[in-house]
Amino acid sequence: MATAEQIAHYYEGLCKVVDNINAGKPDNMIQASWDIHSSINIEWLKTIVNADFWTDEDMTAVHLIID
Amino acid sequence: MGSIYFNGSELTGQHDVKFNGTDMDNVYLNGTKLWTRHPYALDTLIFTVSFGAGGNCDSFISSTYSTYPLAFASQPFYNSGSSGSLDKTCRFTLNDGFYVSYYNQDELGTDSDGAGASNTGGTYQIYIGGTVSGLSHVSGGGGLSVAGSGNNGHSFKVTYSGQ
Repeated sequence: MATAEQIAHYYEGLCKVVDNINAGKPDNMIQASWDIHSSINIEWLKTIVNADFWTDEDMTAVHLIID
Repeated sequence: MGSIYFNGSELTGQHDVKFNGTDMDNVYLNGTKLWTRHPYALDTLIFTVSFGAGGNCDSFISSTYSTYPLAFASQPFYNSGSSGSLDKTCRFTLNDGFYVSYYNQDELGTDSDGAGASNTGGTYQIYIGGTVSGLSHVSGGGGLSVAGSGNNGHSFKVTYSGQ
């Protein structure tokens, strides 16, 4: 079972993923790579948002991407 | 892996069963296998592998697999792209009893509490792009609490649970 510290760490990583997706393709990445990179992380968001270890973390930004 | 109990305790060592002082690898009863020895002690770290953005999975597919064949249900393979492609994914399936116990992505952090609810088997996918990389859960086994693609490199560990 994840500890509170681990949950905070996972949420921090999740927020980075959300921020990166919302920022769009970086200049140093070609479109094909961005498509793979972003799709992998969007699929992960669809799964992790339902993880049973979350407590009261705000998932609004995640749902704006995956819904 | 099968389990055999002695006076209510599971035999968890590699060679708990002896016959006339000789270590047994398997125990049969009327031709049916009851128990198989653990190939490793429980909680043994089997291997750690690291991947850099812009790299490939060649060593993982060949040498990691050939060094630790018991950990894999089959040989890892490129399921998209190839060694020389800018973007490539490599898929692998762990055998029962082996699990991803640790995953670190340079940008996104570390999943260090095991692979979620399950600690046996599962199919996973390594992604390597020009500037990003990571590990994703595909099916079976346990999920990952850190995303499958972030800047720079990543590493993961496979441990023997015996389950």
